[in-house]
Amino acid sequence: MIKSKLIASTLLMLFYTHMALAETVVIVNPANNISSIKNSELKKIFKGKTKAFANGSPADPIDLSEGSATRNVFYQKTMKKSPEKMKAYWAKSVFSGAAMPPHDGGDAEGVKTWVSKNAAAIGYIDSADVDGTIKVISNN
Amino acid sequence: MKKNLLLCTTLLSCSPLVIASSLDDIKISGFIGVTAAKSDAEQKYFDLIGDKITYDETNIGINLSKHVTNKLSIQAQLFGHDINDGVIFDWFFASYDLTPTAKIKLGKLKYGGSYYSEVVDVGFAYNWVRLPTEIYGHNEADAILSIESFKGAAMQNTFYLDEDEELEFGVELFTGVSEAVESDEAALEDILGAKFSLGNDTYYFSTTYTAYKIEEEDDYDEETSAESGREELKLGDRDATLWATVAKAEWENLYLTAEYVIAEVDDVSELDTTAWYASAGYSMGKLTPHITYASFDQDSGRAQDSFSLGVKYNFDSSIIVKAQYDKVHPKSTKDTGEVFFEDSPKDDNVNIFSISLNYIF
Repeated sequence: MIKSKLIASTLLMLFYTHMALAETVVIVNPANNISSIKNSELKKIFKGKTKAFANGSPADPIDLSEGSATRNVFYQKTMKKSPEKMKAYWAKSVFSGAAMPPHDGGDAEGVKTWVSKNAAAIGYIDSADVDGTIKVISNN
Repeated sequence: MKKNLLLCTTLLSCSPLVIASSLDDIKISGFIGVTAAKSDAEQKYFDLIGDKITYDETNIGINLSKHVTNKLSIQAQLFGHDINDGVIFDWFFASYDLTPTAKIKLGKLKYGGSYYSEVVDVGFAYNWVRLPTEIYGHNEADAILSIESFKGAAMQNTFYLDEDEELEFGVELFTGVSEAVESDEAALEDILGAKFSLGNDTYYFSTTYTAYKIEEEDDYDEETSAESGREELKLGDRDATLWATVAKAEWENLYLTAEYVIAEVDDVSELDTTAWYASAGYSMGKLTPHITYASFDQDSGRAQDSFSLGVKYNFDSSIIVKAQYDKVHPKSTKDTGEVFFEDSPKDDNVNIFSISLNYIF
């Protein structure tokens, strides 16, 4: 009995530890010299309101595909918007010609490949998917 | 319509400008709206909705965009709603970023004075089945917003007023010439306008003042009089103004929206018109019920108000289904002229039931 409780507790602890560790991180090309980005700047870039970082260098955003849990977490955290509200926002922006949405990178591998090849790129992935091909910047 | 659309898409894709650059870089997106509507009056609303089910509000749009350079982009939108009307370029323009927050656009531009005037045909962009008709009408000839699009230029700049860059102040100046209003009855020239907006994630406010000149065709008076059965005002060439104001607040689940528009034609006080609506909605997961009151009032005596109840359901991230009930109360008579009905309905109120399915890709 005690043994099974211990196993259950350990599994629960591992689950919550994983949840705590798994977070969305913002990534750029390793050649990009920025080391952090303000949330307001991130919002402007991913809402198509600017095509440049605060330092003036070009910014080219890329999304994970629709339905991705990491994408939903990113938009909820950054914009405080649900997937439905973001979709309505882009419907209004795209079909009025006001702005174009970020590229669709597909999965984390697709986003990393694109970011690693594009000096202006900025994306986001789950921290568990980070590797040496991209650079993680802090989101203040 | 499909053939025309394919033809237009193919022609656009084959233009030298496009061939010169990589086709892979062209983003294609689009929208489709299928709408069914029926009222309990024989007299048609907007010459469309009567006592038999109509699908005439069904439409399709294809949007093409391309970043030519990091600062220059080209965009165009094809639009069609009736097999007999074919497909038109709803808008097309080149946009150049002067700074990270300022840009200039040249081409055929949608009028952006009201909150939804640039996306009137894109049902996915709003919760109603159709936008409040008292302001948005059903085409440029009906609407108080007499300018639907114009050929010209617009310059936009955004300023951030606080350290966190959450509070945006936007300025847009635009000028151009509108294509002739329906049936080539009049053209709107010397359009000159300014739009000021202020907003953050929760609140949005904008006001747009537009001055323009109505250049009327000589036979307008006789043609429209014969069509309507009543004497129309002959405007001649006149100056006119349009003043549109938007207020919107959006919290986590609740939103409130109101718009107020004043239209005036110099020395023709009968055509001084005010229209407004106020709307509220509440999101409950995928479901968003909403309620709207709208009013149209012209000094000539043409007037109506309406009350709407509707619901939007997010079927998935690209498909929404909407249902709406409108209770329209035409206040004017045949002597003064109906606002949007072809003839005076027998009853004081007309009930309209509508459903739509909207898809974007």
